[in-house]
Amino acid sequence: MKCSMCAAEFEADTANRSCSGCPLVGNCGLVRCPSCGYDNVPESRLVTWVQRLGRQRRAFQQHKPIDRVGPLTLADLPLGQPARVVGVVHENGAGRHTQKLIAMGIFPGARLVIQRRSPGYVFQIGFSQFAVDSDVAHTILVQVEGERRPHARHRFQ
Amino acid sequence: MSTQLVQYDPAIERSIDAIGRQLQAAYPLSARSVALLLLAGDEEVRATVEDRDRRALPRIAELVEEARSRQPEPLSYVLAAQRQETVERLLPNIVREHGGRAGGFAERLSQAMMNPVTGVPILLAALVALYVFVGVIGAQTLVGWLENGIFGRFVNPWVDSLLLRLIPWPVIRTLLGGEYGILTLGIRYAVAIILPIVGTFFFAFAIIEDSGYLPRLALLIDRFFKAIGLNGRAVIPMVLGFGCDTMATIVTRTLETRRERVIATILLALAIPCSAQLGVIFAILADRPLALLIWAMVVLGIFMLVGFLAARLVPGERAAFYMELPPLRLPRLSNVLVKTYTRMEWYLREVLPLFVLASVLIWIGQITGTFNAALSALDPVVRWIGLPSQATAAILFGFFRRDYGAAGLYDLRGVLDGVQLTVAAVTLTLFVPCIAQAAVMFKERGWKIALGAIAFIIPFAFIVGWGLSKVLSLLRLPL
Repeated sequence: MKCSMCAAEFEADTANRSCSGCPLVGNCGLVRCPSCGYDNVPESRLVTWVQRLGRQRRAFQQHKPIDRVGPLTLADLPLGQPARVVGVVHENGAGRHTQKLIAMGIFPGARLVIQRRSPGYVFQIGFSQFAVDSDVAHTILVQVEGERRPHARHRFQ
Repeated sequence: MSTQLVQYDPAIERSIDAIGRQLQAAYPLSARSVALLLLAGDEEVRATVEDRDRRALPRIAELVEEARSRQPEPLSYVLAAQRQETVERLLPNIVREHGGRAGGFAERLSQAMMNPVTGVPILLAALVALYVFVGVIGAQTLVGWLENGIFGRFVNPWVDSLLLRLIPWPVIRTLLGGEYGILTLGIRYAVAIILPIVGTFFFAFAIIEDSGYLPRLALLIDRFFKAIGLNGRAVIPMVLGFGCDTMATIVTRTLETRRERVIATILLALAIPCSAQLGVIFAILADRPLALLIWAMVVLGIFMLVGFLAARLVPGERAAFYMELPPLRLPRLSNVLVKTYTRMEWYLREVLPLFVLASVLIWIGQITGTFNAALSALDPVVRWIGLPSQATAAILFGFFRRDYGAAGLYDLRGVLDGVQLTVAAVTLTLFVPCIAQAAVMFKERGWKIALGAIAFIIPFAFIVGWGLSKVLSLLRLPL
């Protein structure tokens, strides 16, 4: 977050360390800036959510590249982005999705296009459309392939 | 094995051969297929092999484990992926593809159904259309015509006069005719009141089902259903529950985890009124819009509250949502009619014996006096929630059939005031599943969960009724 007094950027977690000298030990609901010591009111979850929505919309309009390190999953793809399946996560309890992924034809090499991200993830693979929730979407590892295409949803509005 | 169409990895092929050699007994499938299914972890085939090749089983388990340890991914996934590869290799030579999936209006409508901003109004519009079709055409026009026109004017007087002439014993006569007789009450309720309502609902449901709207609705409300411990897939039993909760309780089988099946069963029994009950409640509260609104809000609130609590109390893992979205299509009339007929036939076959049984039970109860004993036992509870003693019979009937109770209430419209009608409608909606639904709950979920659910629902329904009557009489709303 950003301090409203001195405009220093810092993580809310690191700020908690400066609470040790205070009798309230972090139960005050405020976040103290590590550089100037000003007690900031933490960002409201509603405001961050609205801001994130706006950012996503702008990112789509400006065709921003995906900025993400590490393996890419279906859940990280922007709308209309064609991609190729590179693998599937089976570890950590995700193994219970294996049969569903087989049924949907999610195998390495399969091409898919993501068509909706909300209220769930909708993608087209071959001639079929599937809807999955974010749990399942996060188990599908993908690799971006080709240009994004405009999508029906955006023509609709 | 070079003649095989699908060639797996050499390592997997070796495992298949090795397992195939261990199989001595006769199977309906080839040894290769059995070996493949064993590798993929098919429970049913494992049980068969355990049965027929008991001695080879430890060695086979060893071989399967060995094959599994060579792969980082589950064997079933690896096998399916390699089959898919073969398909991809074969297809381009055989199949010619024309473009992609058709876009246009259907695709735009499909997107609008899933977008929360447009999807919720579409859902509300669909519900209103459903109400007009089932609630007005089915529950009022058709029921009125069958009930008053056919049964009231012709069948019942004819049965009564026939019985009077043929059977000299009044005891047997009341079994078949009269106020609670098999023919005059059981058959009349089933054919004249329930059949038109359920029939119109199943017709509308078949249209919705064939259009491809349900999977899109499932995606739209997946998040909300996750909060009450279900997932979007549960929308199918829930919507079907508005037709017949008994049928919907059977359909909860399609839910993936035991936890979801338990929560869905409880919610169906508690807070989803069936079409017959809905029809009668709409008829009772039709000229009191505020009371109808309060009824709907209380039942919806209970649905969410109990679902929310159940999601926290019922153990088990949360289920994932995945569903194919078939293209939107115009339903075919012949298909819709066949489906409606099949469901109605099932319904009548399932329900008619229970209607007859209910009539017989009431008859026995009246002769032996247990009916009156049950009435006087229930009476204090009914008065506790602010209803007059006349409503006791309606509440007791509610146990035989959800709509029996509501239909009994229909006769009491003149006696009860707005607050009492609202309280009675809410209590009867929440109150016990009918005998058929209770039987299906025992069969599908086992006696522990069924008994637990019923033991929770009965006191809960009356406590909510009591609370509501207190709140409503304090607020003094013009109901």
